[in-house]
Amino acid sequence: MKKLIENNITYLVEQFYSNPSLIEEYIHEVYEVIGKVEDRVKSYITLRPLEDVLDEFRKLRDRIKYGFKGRLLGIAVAVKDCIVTRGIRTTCASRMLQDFIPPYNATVVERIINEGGIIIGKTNMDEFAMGSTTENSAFYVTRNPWDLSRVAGGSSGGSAAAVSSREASIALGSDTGGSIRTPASYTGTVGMKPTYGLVSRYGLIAYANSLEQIGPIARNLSDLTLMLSIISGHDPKDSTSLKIYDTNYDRYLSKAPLKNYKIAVIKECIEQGVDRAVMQAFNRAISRFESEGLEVTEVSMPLIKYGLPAYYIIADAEASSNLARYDGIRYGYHVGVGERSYDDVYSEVRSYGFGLEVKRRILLGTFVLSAGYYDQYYLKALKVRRLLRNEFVRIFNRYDFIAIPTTPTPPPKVGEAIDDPLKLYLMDIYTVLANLVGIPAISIPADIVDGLPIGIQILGPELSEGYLINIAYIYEEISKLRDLTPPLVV
Amino acid sequence: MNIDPAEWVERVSKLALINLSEEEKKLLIKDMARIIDFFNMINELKGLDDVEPLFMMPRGEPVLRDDEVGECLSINEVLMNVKEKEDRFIKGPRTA
Amino acid sequence: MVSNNVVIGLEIHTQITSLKTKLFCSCPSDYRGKPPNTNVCPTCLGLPGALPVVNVNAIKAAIMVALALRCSISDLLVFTRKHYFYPDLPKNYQISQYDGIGSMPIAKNGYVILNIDGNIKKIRIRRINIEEDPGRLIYPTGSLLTSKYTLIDYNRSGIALLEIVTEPDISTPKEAKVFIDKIRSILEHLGITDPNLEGSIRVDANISLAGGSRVEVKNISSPKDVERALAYEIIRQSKMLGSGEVVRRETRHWDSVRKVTVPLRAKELEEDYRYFPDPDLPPIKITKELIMDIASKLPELPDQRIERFVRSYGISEYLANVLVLEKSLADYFEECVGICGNPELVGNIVVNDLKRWIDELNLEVIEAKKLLPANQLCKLIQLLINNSINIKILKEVLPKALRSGKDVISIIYEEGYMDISDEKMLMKIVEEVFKENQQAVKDALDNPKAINYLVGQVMKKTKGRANPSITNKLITMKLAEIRGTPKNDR
Repeated sequence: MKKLIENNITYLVEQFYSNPSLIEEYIHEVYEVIGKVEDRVKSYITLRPLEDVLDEFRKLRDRIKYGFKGRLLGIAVAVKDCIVTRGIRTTCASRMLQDFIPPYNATVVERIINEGGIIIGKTNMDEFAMGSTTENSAFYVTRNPWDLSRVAGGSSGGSAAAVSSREASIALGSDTGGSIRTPASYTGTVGMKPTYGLVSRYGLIAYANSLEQIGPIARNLSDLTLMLSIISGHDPKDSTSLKIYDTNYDRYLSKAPLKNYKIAVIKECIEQGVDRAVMQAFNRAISRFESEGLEVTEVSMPLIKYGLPAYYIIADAEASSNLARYDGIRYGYHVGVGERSYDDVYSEVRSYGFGLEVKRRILLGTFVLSAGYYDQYYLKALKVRRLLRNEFVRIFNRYDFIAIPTTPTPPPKVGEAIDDPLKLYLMDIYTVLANLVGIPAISIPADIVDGLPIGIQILGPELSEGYLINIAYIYEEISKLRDLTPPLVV
Repeated sequence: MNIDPAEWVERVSKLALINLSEEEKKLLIKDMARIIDFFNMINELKGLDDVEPLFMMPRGEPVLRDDEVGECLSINEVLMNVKEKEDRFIKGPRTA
Repeated sequence: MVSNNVVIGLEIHTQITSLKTKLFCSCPSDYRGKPPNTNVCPTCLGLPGALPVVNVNAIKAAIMVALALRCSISDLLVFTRKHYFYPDLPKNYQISQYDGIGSMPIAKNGYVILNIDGNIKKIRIRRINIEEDPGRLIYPTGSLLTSKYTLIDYNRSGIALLEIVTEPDISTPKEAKVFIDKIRSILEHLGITDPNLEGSIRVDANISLAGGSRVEVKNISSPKDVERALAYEIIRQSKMLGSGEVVRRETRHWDSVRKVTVPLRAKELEEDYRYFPDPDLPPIKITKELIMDIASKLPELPDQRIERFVRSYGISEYLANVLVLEKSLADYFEECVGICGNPELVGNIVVNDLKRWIDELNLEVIEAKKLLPANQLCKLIQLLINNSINIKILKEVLPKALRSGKDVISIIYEEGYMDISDEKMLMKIVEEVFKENQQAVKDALDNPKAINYLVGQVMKKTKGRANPSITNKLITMKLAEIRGTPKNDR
């Protein structure tokens, strides 16, 4: 018999309504999978005890009796550990927050709970979301369920691995420069970074505020669409939140194109530096689109190569500011203050609490904001950002989507890239663009090459999530690349 | 512009209140120069004088808050992550 | 001491006490007297993930002040992060404003006209910033400079502050005091700040003498202390310069107990605040319509009120100035005049007598108002006008009423203060005095001025309670009788 966990969420929730006790069975299933694979995959930093989760189930069951309805009824949701959860440890994969228990929920967490979703654990990530492989976690590396010798991508590696390996039905990630799309690409899942401001950042522990968004990682478009519909929409607690109230994207799950779509492929993104397997998968995807009658055109955007340095300058600048608050006084890693001065105490806390990559980015960010360098680096990067945005606007005047590879390579082996920061930064070259200009982007499995899933990234103009879902769904239909099962799970 | 990596690692680590071990210093200094070179790529672009920097995504209608009192945290919630306290105060280091 | 080589600039930090909530969160702004750390939320405690949302009334208040100080108002409201580590600053950056690329203060280039002993002086306002107040530090084992550790109360953290920065246009400590008095009065008249609340207005003063560097004195809380601190600095610095020492650029702390300035620990590094626009707070358009609307509702300002007092009450400009210096005093004056007329007399009593006792008894005007409501003062003034008491008695009754809050009539009766205006009774005493002072009577018959001695004797016998004008009249009558001239009743 097909396991409950293998079903899509909408179907499961329907089953759960008619028979709430199925939820219990489903939860046991999820924990069984976790018991089987978690030791090897390491998706979670904090997994809630089965008993606590069953308690929640019982409460839910009582509420169902009184007519409670929710679109995530009983669904096991994994949440990236940079999104705060009341009463559940939230570490950001950092020693700094190793024992931090937030007294409040992120808005997205509230929305999930309100829909009857059960948060079963907090997933591993690169420390403070700084990385592309989840190797920068202060605790352990998350492995790719498709090949345990490879990384799951990052920084939302734990979320992607958990979803891919059926340790949860769906997960939330955060994407500052590709942190949802890269692990989605590496694990054969779908991941979306929404338009900047569509999803509330309230409760997302900030890495680079002007770039990042929370988004879903799912096994199929249907699940992703449901989660996006739930977490999107205006939040008065986030000043950068857009005043969007209609966030039901169901109608975009259509096998027929809702428009006469025109796709642009950016020449500079496929010309050089792209791995053979990635190119193969990408070309396959493009020919599938073309065979569906969609118009695909190559366009040039020479500015694209400046995106990556501009991104790192901006992200590091904001990070250096956001991470100033970690001084061990109100929360987090602490050293006794004794009779010591504040700079003495803070320096010790920060030196121990942060890992090397975090320190590097804080220092670089401090540098680009400091007197004498601000104009040369920070302001200039922001000007590049403006030019890039103008370029994207120009392209979207003529095309509906841009298709480019999600990452230039398949998932690297654990340890392969981690010693060279620049090599790691290069992994983000195609993902940072959407963050720099605030547009939505989705990564979907393009193909499976040499036993590894490889993603393609589709970008659309601001607030084009619906159409992105539509085209991704069309691709899912023709490619049948949905609910991909890594060998580990079989 | 020529930047001596060792010198500025020293300077910014003081500004950011991060003490570096000799080992870390060595690692950072080695890569910093390469990363700064990578940053310098954007300085190849000319004619940016009249370009407005894009600090953040432009928003339409602003998100403002009415001046209405909401809930505060309970004292237990405030102190639950605090390691050193005296009564309800949070203990902090010396400022002198 | 030569004063024309002194250059002083002030930074006034004033809390917008009229707000119900803090600047960026919905915690109450009324933090005073609450147990430590009970007036905080994730945002003002700087918890990871929490975000700021601007209090719309704070913007309106800032615009009111900007209009009152004749500033030009920015068409964009931009908040900027100012980075420095300090235990009272939960994020280790302060959300403030800055004048630079992409950042601007809400208002710039204003001025205030001062009237200093009849001389007119214009003090230019460089800018007005909206910013958040830090928490409050307690120094359990000494002072800011000596305590071995600190205790932090974040209740004040996030309170809306306006920072008003002058150009260095001030040349004497007295001018500085007059300036602050005027700003306080303006804020009070606008209904923005209650200056009587402890710590609601705090001043940093920059002072330099010819030949020396700029010295900043921080944390001065009363106008009088600003005058004292600056006077202290002028003496200290001119002594140093006189003996050939170098006055270095430094920051000092005003010790309000010992009435001295003391050096703060010198920073190892030059300050580098790394300002950049807060990416959590998108710029907000300030429309002409909003400014016009606020301008049209601006209440009467001190200068206008002084003018009106002179014009419609006919009181001296000096009196009007002193009254309007404290809005509550001016309000009290107007209330009294509304009840008992006689603005000149009321004004003089309020300024010269009542205010003196309010200060002496360490009361606030509003407290004094409760102890001696306007109708009570008016009763005294009525009694004075119809000669039931004399001014000396009025002056003695005032402090008793302010100390006890008792009804003035009861005080007068209980303390036996009512004038002896009973003519029969007084005549008896006059006759006694005439008998006992025959030489003086003779003198008085020749020299009308000598009558005063006789009046004095009557006063002595009645312990000052004799109604002076009736006494005068009776003595004149008696003298006329002795001269044998006919009575001349008036």
